[in-house]
Amino acid sequence: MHLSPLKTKKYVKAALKDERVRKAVDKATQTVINARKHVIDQIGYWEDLRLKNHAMKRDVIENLADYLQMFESNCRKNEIQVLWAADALEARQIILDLAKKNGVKKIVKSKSLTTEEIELNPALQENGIESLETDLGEYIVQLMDQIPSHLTMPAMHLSRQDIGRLFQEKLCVEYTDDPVALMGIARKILREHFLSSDMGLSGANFGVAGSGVLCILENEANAHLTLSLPRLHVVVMGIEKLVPDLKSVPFILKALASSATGQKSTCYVNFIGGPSREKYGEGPEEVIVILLDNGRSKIVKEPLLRETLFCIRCGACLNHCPVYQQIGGHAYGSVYMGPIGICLTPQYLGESEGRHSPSLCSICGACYDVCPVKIDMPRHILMLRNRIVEKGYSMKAERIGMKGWAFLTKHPMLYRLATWFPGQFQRLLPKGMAFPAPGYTRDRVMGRFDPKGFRKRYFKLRDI
Amino acid sequence: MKISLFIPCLTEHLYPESALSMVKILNHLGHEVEYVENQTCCGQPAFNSGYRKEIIPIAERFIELFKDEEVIVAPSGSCVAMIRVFYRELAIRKELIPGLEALNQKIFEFTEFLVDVLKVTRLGGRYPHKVTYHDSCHLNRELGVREQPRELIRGIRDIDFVEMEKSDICCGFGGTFSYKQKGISIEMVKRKCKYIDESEADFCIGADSSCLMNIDGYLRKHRMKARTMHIAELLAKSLDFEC
Amino acid sequence: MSDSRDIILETLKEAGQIPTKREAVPQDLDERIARGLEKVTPKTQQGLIEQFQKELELVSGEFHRLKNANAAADIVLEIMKQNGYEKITVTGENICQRISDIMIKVDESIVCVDPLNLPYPERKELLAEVPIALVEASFGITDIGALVFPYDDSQTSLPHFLSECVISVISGKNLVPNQFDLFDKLPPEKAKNMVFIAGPSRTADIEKILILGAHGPRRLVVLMFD
Repeated sequence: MHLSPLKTKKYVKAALKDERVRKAVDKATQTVINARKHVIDQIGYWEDLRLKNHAMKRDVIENLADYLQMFESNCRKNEIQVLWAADALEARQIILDLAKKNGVKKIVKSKSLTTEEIELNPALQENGIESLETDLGEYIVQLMDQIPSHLTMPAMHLSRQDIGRLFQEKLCVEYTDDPVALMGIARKILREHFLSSDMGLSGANFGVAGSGVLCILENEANAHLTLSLPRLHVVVMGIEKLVPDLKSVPFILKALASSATGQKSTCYVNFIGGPSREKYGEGPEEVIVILLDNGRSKIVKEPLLRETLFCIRCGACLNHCPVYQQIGGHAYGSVYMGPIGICLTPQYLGESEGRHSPSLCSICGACYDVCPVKIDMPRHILMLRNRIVEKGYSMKAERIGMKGWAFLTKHPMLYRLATWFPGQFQRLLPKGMAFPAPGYTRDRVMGRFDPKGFRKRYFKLRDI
Repeated sequence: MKISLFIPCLTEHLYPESALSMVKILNHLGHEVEYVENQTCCGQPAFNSGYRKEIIPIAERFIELFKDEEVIVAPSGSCVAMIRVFYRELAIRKELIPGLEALNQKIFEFTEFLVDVLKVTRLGGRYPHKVTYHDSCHLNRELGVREQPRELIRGIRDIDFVEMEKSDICCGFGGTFSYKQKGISIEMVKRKCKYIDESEADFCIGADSSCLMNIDGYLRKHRMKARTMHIAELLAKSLDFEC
Repeated sequence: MSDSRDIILETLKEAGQIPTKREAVPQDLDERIARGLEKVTPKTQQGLIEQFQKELELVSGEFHRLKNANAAADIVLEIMKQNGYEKITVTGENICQRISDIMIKVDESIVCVDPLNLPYPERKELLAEVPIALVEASFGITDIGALVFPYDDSQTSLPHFLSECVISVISGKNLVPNQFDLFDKLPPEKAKNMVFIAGPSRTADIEKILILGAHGPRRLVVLMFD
């Protein structure tokens, strides 16, 4: 399934009609909102933690060249291979080459948004390589040939009945909608694949520059099995996902688990400092990290917008966004969704293709309130709207309207004259009838224009 | 204190009662009020839609018009936020920057002004009705004004103040958002009105006419019980002022 | 590809020249966080153990505080009997060995498997068949109820993930109040290869309903020795 951010209008319309998905999205986001609040209320230093993480990510992003070289050098000391991919095409090619070189027929994958971003699965399919998502939500979404609808809850838009029917159809099992049984089915099938795959492919929550270590957080144990059972472990990681040293790790861990799922910690935190087969008699023979650029380095050059690269992919902004809560993830038309998504899409894809993304926001600021690294998304969205206007991608009618309004406000007499008309027109309408404002008034009554306006009434009042 | 009025466009043309109420209350508290002539608009709708170049002259005009006033009060959080928080992002003429900085120290939203500057929470009024309060996004998150309106409401005798669920969730107006993404906007206001309905309040009080217009519009169209009321009007009504 | 590396680094170096206006970070930020942590840190050993138990049980782990290896052996045998398990993987030295020795004495039919004797891939194939594992944690993080397994100590991690039921022994002396403390105590070399485990594996991907036992263990039992 290929979505385009240019088609959000269509997707939003469809999303708003789909009551079932909307209910599911509402329930899922509300559950995590409550769980998060419960955990954060127990962290007395939460606001200080946000400041700390923000400062730490700023240091990393502003000195990213140095930190990446440090990371590469320390990885090499740990016998982790480091490869660099300028864009999605190069990243896909590197993985295909590795697969070919190593005779890889089957890959198990643990959750990785970067691999969605580079559209890896179709490329693997084309080359006859079987690739299985192992995170339960991702596995389900893969069977449906969809993309995830949330950063951390990929199948949140589906009900248990949907999943029961899906498994019955695609896996040839008896229908059940008992969640425990459904998990059991997936466990059995995927366990076989874990044990027989040639390559494990994962993302990484972050890389520790000062130690050459990768950190992967999870709850299901699928990531550990992905990174420890096959002979090869390949990691695709965005270049921005570094932290300076091991001492910084607890700060990020506390922020990530609480913000993403409302847990005090994820069930598992994996630290990978090298291929372990020789040392411990198990684990991969090779660990390879692919550092992915794909538009990130360009964003680092932006003095204000570079903050969008601080993102640790927790999804808290999605959960708290009143727009996301109404439309779910697919409506954004991109792998990156929600408030952070609409900041990233025009930056990664350009103002033309991303021109509609920043409009999926009412600038309420709920996202900034909850972001654990304090990314000021409302400000960035306003800035991106400006970019889109400057580049000429706003709607012509709107441009004319805005310029007209701006002209009037500079000329008070004309302004007063122009704004006198609606009040008079209101007078002509039958009493109680709303002012016509097509579109806006589909489900709402427009306010009543006052024929006199404040200024006249005020002067009358004052003269009494 | 001589208080200069900053009257946002929605207030001027659609909700003058809220500003007139504000004037009456300030007079009642013994202050002189002045209307700065030739004020028009702060430029927020254009700014929010991404037009910055176009509104630089508007911002410069606003600063020139208001910078020498003693203190400025407006019955709207989003417009005050536009001045205090967002004007500095515009490439205005360098010589006006000190003027803007001075302006930012003395421009206030109405409830913020009453409680934080005039130190008034009880006006001595009475309003025996059930009300709830909607936190407008800019007022709440950009200006940090949450408690002040609540204190003023609680200061009214015999009022039954109930908090609605998620009082601070966006009502869906968002300026041009209400038009550009009308489908989503309507669902958001529907949700807000559901919470108001569940609170069983007769009135939903707010400090921003844009939100109140949006919410009121939905309540009326769907013949729901509650209506919106600007907090200035509420306070004026509690003192039996005619507006 | 080395071209990509050069291009990326070049762009980033240029970017590094462009400064941003930094938000002022309070000078005493680290202190404030440390104070905040201290407020929620138990002050006694008993307090730490109680906090660990509470957090572990909140993530559906099971907790037993024991005096000796005999008591531990009893618990393990009971679990094996309940579930009809005949084989158990035993890793870790000292206490785990003592427990398994006692178990074999009590019930000869039990088979204790030592994974470290086996090379790969036999090791993974065997471990995939053994439903229960006895392991030893090097540390416990009390504020999140997690066990810490540096591979330098445990030498393996497959039993911890392939089994249905994991039983971990831990000494009460090895509890640390939080992750910040852990990284202070743990030598950096050890910290490079390790895993934290907080409860049995789980998922909430179906309608946000919590399911214990996703791809890994369904059950985690902690045996704490003082």
